[in-house]
Amino acid sequence: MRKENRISSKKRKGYRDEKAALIILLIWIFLAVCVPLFGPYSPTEQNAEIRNQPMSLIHFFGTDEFGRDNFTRVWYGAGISLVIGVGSSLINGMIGILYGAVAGYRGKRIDMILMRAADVIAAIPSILYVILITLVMGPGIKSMIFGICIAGWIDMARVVRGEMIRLKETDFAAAAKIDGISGIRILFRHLLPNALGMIVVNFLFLIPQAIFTEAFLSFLGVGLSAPTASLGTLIQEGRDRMILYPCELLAPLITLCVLLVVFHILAMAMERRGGQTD
Amino acid sequence: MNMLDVRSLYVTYLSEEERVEAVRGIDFSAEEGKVTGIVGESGSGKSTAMLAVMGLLDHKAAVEAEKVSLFGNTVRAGDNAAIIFQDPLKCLNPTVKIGRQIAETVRNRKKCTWREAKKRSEELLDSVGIRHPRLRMKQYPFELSGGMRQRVVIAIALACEPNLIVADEPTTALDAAMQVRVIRLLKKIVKETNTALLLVSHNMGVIAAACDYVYVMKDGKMIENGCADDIFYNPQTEYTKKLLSDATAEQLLVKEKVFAAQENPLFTVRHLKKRFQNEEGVNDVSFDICEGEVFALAGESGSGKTTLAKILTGLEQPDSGEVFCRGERVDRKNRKRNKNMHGKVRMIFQDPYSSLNPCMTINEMLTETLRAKEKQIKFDQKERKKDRQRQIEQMLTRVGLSSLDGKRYPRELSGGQRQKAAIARALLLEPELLICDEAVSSLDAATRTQILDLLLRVVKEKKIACLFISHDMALIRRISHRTGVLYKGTLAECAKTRDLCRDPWHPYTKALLDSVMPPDPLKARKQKVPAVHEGKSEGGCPYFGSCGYKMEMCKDAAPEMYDFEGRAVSCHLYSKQQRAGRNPNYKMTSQI
Repeated sequence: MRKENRISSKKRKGYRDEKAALIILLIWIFLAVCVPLFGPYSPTEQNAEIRNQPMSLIHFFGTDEFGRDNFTRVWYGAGISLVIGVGSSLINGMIGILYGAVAGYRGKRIDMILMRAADVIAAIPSILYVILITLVMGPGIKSMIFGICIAGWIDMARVVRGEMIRLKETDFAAAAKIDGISGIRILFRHLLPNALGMIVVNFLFLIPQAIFTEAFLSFLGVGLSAPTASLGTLIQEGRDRMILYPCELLAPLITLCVLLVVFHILAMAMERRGGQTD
Repeated sequence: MNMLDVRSLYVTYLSEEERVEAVRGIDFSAEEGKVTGIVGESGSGKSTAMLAVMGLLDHKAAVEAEKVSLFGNTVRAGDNAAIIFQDPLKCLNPTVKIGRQIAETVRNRKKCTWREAKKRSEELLDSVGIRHPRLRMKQYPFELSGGMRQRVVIAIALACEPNLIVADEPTTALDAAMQVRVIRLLKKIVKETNTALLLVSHNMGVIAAACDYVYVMKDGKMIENGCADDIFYNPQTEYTKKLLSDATAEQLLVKEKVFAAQENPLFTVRHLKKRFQNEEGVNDVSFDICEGEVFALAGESGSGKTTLAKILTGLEQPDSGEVFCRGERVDRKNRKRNKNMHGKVRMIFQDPYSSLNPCMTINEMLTETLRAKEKQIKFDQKERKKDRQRQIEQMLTRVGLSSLDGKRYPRELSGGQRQKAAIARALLLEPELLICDEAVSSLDAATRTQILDLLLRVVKEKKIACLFISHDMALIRRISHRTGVLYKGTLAECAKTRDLCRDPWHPYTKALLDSVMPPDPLKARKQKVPAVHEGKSEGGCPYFGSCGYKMEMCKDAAPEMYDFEGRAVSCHLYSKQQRAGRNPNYKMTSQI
């Protein structure tokens, strides 16, 4: 009775997915950076004669109602989406790690106060925060990042807190305490590196979350407004002309979806590996 | 016909970098109604082979075999075969009541209503020796003791009505007395239900007590096999002989403890009390530890040994009572005084896998320890680094690790090497008291000998005191000068180890000594099953429930510590009332 060799085939396929996703992401970032900088067209230059052209070799994605090249516009917007997504995720990540680490390590009352405060903040949907901030600070990239960061760190804080609670009961944490190493050093040098796996996975999920929030809000008209156009704004503009000139909608839409899918694949692959990087 | 037949089993782990052959072509079989043992050191592949037979290995492992059959059928876990693991806590769902967990397995096996399943669960719990089964069924796993949990796991295994039960180190996580009972239970089940039992262990004593037929495994291959009597009394291969000699070494009194302990008490503990919510803790414990001596603290889990260790290291504060170091009172709450205590008490933990930080190399970990010390003394920057490296290198050599090992992460080292690294970390700050909390319990016999030799050598060279905590009396006999026996938070007896082991005074000490399992089938089969009382006792002597020598007064009043020359006992048999009729100059001897 022979049992089958059931190993590598699954693994090999998995690696293929990851590598493909990583390559696509790198290409995406390359385009988002280079096209606005080095491309022949400017995202804002208007040319009434070539309005609403379909996809062609000169204009890869066609032109919009003002004659602006869509390809350049899409990648310019992609760059903005990426900046907002990664920027706010970094801020969220840092705040979340600090907050969660302190709450988890100190425990008892401090933990309770910090986490209940976080619960209250999390109870209000982020749309409201962004709207409020936009009203106060005016529309733009800064207010968008700020709005997302008000409540975006809470997930990370909860994850890190859970890890700290688990790690502070371990023997090596007790040994470090017996050594007389200060609490702060134990927290950041001894315990946090062990939580790195979970932190990275969570961070990789934060990015598409932030990008989507921004796109969604811009689509609703709450976020960025002309002339700064993120992918969400472009999608909204394309929506009106969806039937006549579909590529004006599809181009930014597919670009956005590709980005989100790629990040998700990478995040899930990281999770599957248990956060170990090779 | 044999119940279980396995021929040419191969298990290979394939990863990107390497190909590890965990099991390399083994043949074995198990007969119904008999206990078949598989013995070998950790890493020999026994557990992997068992999981492979049960079909429980994941896709990372490639399993190939010419034949794996159970009565002619394939082995199906939960259907015709069941498996019992080492740690019952990991097998039981902590959020589901016991009754439901057993009933689910019963219903899985055959169609019946919940009521019938619960009735069957009660029967099963009764058959594994759990009293008040109806009450226990409504409890959660954490409300039961370790021994009871393991019996619940056995009951779940029986609920499958299997033809084969595989037990992978079922007693390693249990205390000595509980070990004997669980082994007896397994033997009884095998006889009554005529199932085949495959018992895997690295403990020769367990194998001797339980098995009819034994296989010896090393590095993925079967080295030797035969009846238990043949293997133990007439081993053929060198490896089997080595295993036996390592195991029996633990039974002898080591006569090399030539160094005499001095009489100056280094650490003194007086009337320490610390109670936790779940009734564990220490209750009025007092003893001395002298320079250069190894003081053993014996007792089962829940007796308060770890609490005592935590209080001594400063991780916990006692509710009342005092600790003295060289005559001075130790006050952890006072920051200044605490600094004086810095580095004087060090601890080596039980589990070498969790006591080292997985994210740091050994060198980094040792550097951290040194940095903490340097806060006390000011050093120049460059000097510091060189000095540190020098100290680390010296320490690594002394414990028997190479400088290459220092650059490795804990996951790349074996259990013995990790424990050596833990010892290096403990010794780095030149401590005066070294606490070993079950430091060698999870290692196999050969590694254990290495580590114990290292510890004894260090204690002798540096003249530090060592508090050796263990539940294994055989180990204690081998390594300590004096022993204190803890039972449910109180010190039952405290005496020189040699005297204590030859001539126990307290009934509990005698019970502990009786439950040592010798690697000798004839002796093991004659062993008495110790009585274990599972419940709370109100007032009176804490040992009242299980004591074979109890008297009227034992129920009402807790005994005090009665001191005689060099021995202290906490038992009414030695109280003033019992001695009343005797000559005041009478030299006290054992009353049991």
